[in-house]
Amino acid sequence: MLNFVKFFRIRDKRLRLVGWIVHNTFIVDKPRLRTLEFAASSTIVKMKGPVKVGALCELCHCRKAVMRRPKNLQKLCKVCFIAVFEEEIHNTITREKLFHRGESVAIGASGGKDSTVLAAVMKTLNERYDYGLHLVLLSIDEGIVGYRDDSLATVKRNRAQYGMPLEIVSYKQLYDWTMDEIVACTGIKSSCTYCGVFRRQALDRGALKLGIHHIVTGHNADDMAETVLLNLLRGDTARIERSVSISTNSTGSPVKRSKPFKYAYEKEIVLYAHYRKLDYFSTECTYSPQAFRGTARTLLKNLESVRPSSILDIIRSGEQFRLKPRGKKRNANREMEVRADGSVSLGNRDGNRCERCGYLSTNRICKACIPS
Amino acid sequence: MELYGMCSGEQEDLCGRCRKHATIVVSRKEHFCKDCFLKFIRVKQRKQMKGDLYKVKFGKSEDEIKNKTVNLLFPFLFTQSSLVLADALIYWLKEQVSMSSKAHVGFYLTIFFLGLDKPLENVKQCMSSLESRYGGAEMLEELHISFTLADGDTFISSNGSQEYLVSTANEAFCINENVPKLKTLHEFFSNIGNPSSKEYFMDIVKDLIIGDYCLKKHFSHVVLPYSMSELAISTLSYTVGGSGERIGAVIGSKTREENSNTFDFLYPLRDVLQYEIEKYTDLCGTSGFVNENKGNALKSVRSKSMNELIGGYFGSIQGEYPEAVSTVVKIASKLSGPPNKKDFKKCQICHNVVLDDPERWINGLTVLEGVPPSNEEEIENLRRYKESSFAKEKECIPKDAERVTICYGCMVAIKSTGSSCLYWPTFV
Repeated sequence: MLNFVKFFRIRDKRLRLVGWIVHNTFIVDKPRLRTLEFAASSTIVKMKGPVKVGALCELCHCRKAVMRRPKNLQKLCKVCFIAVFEEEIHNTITREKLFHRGESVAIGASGGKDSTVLAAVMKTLNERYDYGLHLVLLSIDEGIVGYRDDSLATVKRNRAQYGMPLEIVSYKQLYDWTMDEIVACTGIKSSCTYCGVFRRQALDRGALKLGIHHIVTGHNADDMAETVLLNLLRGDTARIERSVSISTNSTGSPVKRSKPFKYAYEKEIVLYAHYRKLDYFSTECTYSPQAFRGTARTLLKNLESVRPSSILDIIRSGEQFRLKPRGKKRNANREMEVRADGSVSLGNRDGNRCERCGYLSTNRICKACIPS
Repeated sequence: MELYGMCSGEQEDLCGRCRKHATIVVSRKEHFCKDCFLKFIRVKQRKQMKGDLYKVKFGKSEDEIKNKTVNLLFPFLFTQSSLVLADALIYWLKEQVSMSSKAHVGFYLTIFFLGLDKPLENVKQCMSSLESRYGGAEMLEELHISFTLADGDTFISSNGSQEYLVSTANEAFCINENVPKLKTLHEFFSNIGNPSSKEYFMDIVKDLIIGDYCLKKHFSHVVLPYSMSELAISTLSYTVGGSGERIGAVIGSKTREENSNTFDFLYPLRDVLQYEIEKYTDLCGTSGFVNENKGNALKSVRSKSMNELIGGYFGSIQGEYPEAVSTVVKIASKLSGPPNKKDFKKCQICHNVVLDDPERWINGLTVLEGVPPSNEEEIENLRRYKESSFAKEKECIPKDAERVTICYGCMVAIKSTGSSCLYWPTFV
C-alpha cells in the first residue's frame, strides 16, 4: 500500500541534487547523483514495520539510516547526522580556539546555504556550549538585480528566525558603483575579481561600523580544497602556504576572519539545511561563471566521486605545503623605489595602508580605489 | 598546438630555426622541421644535465678518466617519455665519443628495464627492439651502455609478506603471521582492486625497487623519465592523495636520502610537454616500442583512477590555459620536502617521514559517536542489533596484529581498497 502525503521536487542547482520528499524522507533521483544514497532506492515508501538490522544507523545502531554520509560513506540516521555535524564544527572551533568569551562576531550572511547553515549552527553551538558570543548578521549588497535582492530577502527572514541583528552594507554606499554597473563597463569575465576585492573590504568596513573585529564566513571544505588546487594551478607562491588557514589576520588589519566550516563538506551542509528545514536561497550569482575556478571545481567533483575523502585529503596536503627558504636578495635593504611623483615605495610589507581610503593594502593605492 | 602531417614547402611553412626544411611540428608557437625539433628536445634534456659531471671526458686512455666518470642509472618505465630519454641520452653519448679521438663518454649509462605489471615477453621484446635500433650490442658496449632487466617478481618473492589493516577508527595494524606469501608482482597488484590505490602502491614499489638496485649496485645518480606533464600530474596526484609534503621531496629536491645514502635524482625531461614527447617518438619511429594504455576516453569518470582524471583535466584545459602544466611544475619545485630528522617516525609501507600523526588528525575531524536511544522502539532496535551477526562480524582485528605507524597517503590508499587491508611484501 502506498503512503504518499506530499510529493514534490526540490532542486539545488549547484550540486545538481534532484529528488523527492516523501513523508519527510528525502529520496534522491539515483541516476542523477549516485553518491548520495538515501533511505530507499525507489520512490515507494512501504508501510512501517520493524527496521531491518542491516538498515540501522552505523553510529547509534538504534534508528533507521536515511543517508550515506558524503564524507566517509557511513550510513547514518537523521538524528546522528545532525549531532555529528554540529559536534565536528564545535570541535573545530575549540581546537583552533576561534573565539573568546564575550566577543562580538559578525556572520557574513548572503542568504545562501553555507551562510544560513553557519548562522544556524553558530546560534545552536553558542547556546549549547555557552560560548558567550554576541552574534550579528552582516550582509553585503553588491547591487546585482535578480540575485542579491532576492537573497537579501532570505537574510531578512533569517534575522527574524535566529533573532540576530542584521547590518547590510552596499557597494553603492561605499564605492558609488553597483556590480551591475561595473559589469556593464568591464564585461562579465573579470566581474569576480572586482567583486572579490570590493566584498572583502565591504565586510571589514561593515564590521567596523558595528564595532566588531571578527567575521566568520561560510567557506566550506570544498571551497578550501578548490583553493588549494587553484593556488597550485596558478602558481600562487604568495598564497600557497596559507591556502587552508582557518583564520586570516594581517598585521595591522582590524578585522579577523575565520572559517568554522573548513572541514565541512558542501554536500553535508546542504543535507543539514534540508534536515533542519532551514530557509535559504539557492540560486547562483548571475555573473558567476569564473571560467578557471569552474574547471578546478569540476575536477574536484570528479575526484570526489572516485574517492569521497579526496576533499579532506587535499586540505591535509594544503596544510603540509611549505615553501623553500628564499635566499636574501642582494642589497635588499638598500633598494627603494622612488616613483615619478617623488613618493617612495613602502615596500611589500604587511600592514601598509592605502593612501586614498586608508584601508589595508600592500600597494600605495588599494585595488578597490584603483577603478575610481 | 600540433601540426599533423607534412607541410608544403611554401615560404611561411619553413622551419623557423634552419629556414631550409618544411615545418613538421608547431610547438610553443614555433615552427620546426624534424631535425630542429629533435634538437630542440635534446637541448632541453641537456640543459637539465648541464655541469661537468656528465660532460665529455678527454684522455689518452679509458683508464685515465675512469674514476672521473659517473655511473648513471636510467629506469626505463615503458612510457613514451622513457623512449625519448633513451634516445636523447644515447644520441648524446654518440656525439660525445665522436668529438675527437681522445674523447670518451661523459657517463656510464645503465638502462634498468622496470616493467612492473608488464608481461615479461613485452619487456624483452622492447629491450631487443631498442638494442637493434641503436646499433646492436657492440655499439652499445662501445658507448658503455648496459641493459638490465629488473626482476620485480624475485624482489617480491624473496621477501616475506605482511598484511596491513586500517580500522574504522583509522588505526593501522600489521599482521606478520600466517599471511599468504606473495609470489609475483602481478599477484600483488591484482589484490588491489581500486585503480587509484593500485597506482599509488605501484609508484611505491617502483621507488623501492629503484632504491634497492641503487644501493646494491652503488649508483648515486639516477635520471627519471618524466615529462613536464607527467610531473604536473604527479604534483596534483600527491596533493589529492593527501601527501602534499612529498611534492617537495620528490619534485622540488634534487637529492633523496635512503638508509643514510644520498642519491641525486634528475628529471631531464621536466621542460618537455607530453605532446612534444609523443611527436618526438613519432618522428623517431619508436612509438610502437611500448604499448601505453590509451583506452581512458572510453572509461566512465567513476572507473578512472586519480591520475587518469588529473591527466584528463590537464588535457581539457590545455587549449585555453596552456601555461597551467608548467606553472604547476614550477611551484612544485619551490616547495620544500618534510624535514628528514632522525626522531621523525617513518611510514612502514613507503618509508617516508610521517608528519602530524595522521590518525589523530583525521579522528579530530570526524565524530564517531552516535546519539543514544531515546525511546522504547530505539532501545529494542539496539538490542536486536547487539544480538545480530552484524555486531559480531563488525571489524575484528586479530589479537596478534601489531599497531604500526603509516603515513596519511598510505592510510587513505589502504582505506580506498574497499577491504581496508593490503598484502604487502616485507621490504627491508
